[in-house]
Amino acid sequence: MRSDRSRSAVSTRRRARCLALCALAVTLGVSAVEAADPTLTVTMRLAEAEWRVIRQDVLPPFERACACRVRAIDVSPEILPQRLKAMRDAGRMEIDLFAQDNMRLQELVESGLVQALEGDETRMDAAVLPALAASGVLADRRYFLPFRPNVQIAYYNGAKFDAYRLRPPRTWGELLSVAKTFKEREGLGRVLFQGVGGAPTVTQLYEWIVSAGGDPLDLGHPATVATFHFLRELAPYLSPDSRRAKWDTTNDALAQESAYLAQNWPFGVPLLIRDYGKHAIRTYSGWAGPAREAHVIGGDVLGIPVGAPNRDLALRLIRHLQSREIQETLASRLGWPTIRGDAVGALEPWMRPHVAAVQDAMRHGVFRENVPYWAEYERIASEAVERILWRKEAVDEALPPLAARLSDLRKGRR
Amino acid sequence: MKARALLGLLPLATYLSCLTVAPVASTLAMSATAPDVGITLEHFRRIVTDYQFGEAVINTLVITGIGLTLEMLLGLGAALALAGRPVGRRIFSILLLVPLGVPTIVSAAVMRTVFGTVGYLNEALLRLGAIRSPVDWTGERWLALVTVAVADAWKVTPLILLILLAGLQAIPGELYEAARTDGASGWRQFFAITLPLLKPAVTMALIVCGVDAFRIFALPLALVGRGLPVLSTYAYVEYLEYGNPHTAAARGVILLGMILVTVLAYLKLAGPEEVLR
Repeated sequence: MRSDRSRSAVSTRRRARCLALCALAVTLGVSAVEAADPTLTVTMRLAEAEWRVIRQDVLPPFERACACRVRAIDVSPEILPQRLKAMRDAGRMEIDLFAQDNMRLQELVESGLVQALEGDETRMDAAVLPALAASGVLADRRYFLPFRPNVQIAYYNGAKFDAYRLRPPRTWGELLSVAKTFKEREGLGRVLFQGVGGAPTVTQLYEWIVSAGGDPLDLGHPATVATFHFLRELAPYLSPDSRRAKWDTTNDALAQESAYLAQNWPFGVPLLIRDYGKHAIRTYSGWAGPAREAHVIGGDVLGIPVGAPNRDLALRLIRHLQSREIQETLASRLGWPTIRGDAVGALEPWMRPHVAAVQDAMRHGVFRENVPYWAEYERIASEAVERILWRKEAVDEALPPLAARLSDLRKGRR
Repeated sequence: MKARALLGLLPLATYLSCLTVAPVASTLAMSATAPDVGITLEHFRRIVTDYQFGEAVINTLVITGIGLTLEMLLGLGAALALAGRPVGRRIFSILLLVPLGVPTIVSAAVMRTVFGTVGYLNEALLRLGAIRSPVDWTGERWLALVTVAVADAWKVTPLILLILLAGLQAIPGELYEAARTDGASGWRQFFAITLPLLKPAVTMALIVCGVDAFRIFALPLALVGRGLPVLSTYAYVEYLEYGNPHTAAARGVILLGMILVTVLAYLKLAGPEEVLR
């Protein structure tokens, strides 16, 4: 009896040892797999359709080539600095690479959240467009590399323009005339201005002011004031959807034909024409102001956070994202403008006129000044649009106090 | 025994501490502090001097007022109709409760197809000849407020219906029989029996839906955009668009304060026993 018990105790101890060994083997095995298969964390702010292409067509070839996993997560440009700060302060940086709006770079550099790139790391393929290669340098040091340039083009409903015998406007005068015609004929305005406030509104306002010859960061500049006078004159003839229009809802307005003419980023081209079948939609670069034609070059650049755990791998991913093959995929699948002069070969024929419109707009491209008070500038410029366009306040009364606020901000932060 | 009772309360206490007390305390702390400055009321000063603040407060109050009135009237009417056990009660109940199961952001999208310039409402009115050109239902501020309140009522009325229907079914039928025997009219029965005995359910519905209305967010944002600020969207824009978590927290604290003041004032007027009953 006693020997039975001792035999059973020995057997239990053996089983326990076996289990412990198995657990150890599994743990070591998992660690080994993890060590052989590092995970790279990348953040971007993309629409659902864009994420699909990134996850299905862009990242898998890189994962195979580098034997790693890429964890791609959505982080908005406004939240990214806070995330990076929190991770840095906690001593646990989890992000290896981020794509950030090219208008929100100053804060990252000022707060010491992004690594400066040195030597070979700053090298770019000769096919990268020179104007884009120049961006990403702040205070004479390169912190960012180009990934996705963007420029707004004008979308118009060709069928409606043809029906009313109108031509797409090329000047502010023609724009006003077209807006008036639609309002008179249909009872509602059909020209859309992205007047919701925030980034969409300020992007459009910026290029309108530049095309008038003004300084967007000086609301007291005569040409800036003239821009607001023109917008005030145009406002009664704008589509009612303008007040809530931003980048995504502009596509809805064009698709549902509540607007016939609107400026927007090129991501709407495949969405409206290929996905929604809106073949009456046509595009061109847009209209000129009294001084010139100007279009803001927006888009995202790539940066590596300070303390990123997989710096070398992140640099390899940057090269992959800038490669001709990937830039062609992004252009053909998503209609994204490309950073390379040699990445237009894979375009389907129906996309070519729209890409030509984008390239035409790029030729009139302007970069916005990267200022540390950009978020506050957006607030002031949005308030100006809200008061003058939607609350119908007189330009000469609404603008001076806002110009003074902006002037104080410039003096205080420069 | 006492120790066991305390132990039993531990999960609830943990839940409340972690998910209610700590976030509220953290929001309060954020609202009254600033990086590199420490304790400050600067965020509140900025909010109070902002040109949209007064408008956001008024908009929130107006939407709450119009919305609650509409929801109570519709909810009470539907509850009274269903309490009378009409033919097809089951089907009507299901149809009336459908909006309750629709996520708010989806209901906002649905409402855009109704109230948009190319929406169903304009299309119907145009075909009926009631209007000659489409109406911009969210163009003018007061019309936009009514539109948002109506859209909110579509979503919230079923909840009020449920609460009031439960209240109506708890009223003893003998009271109505006695009243009928005494020759009381339908109106007399409604004002002398139904309304007084329905008061706890009405109080509960007003508090639950009133708090919900104060926090209204997706509908004004989706239907009108930022042109119609309410306190929730006002805090959202500050946080997401301008990246100011401290000012956004201060806006949240103001909203919380408004809700607390309104609920406490109502309880004072209606009597707390109505809720605790």
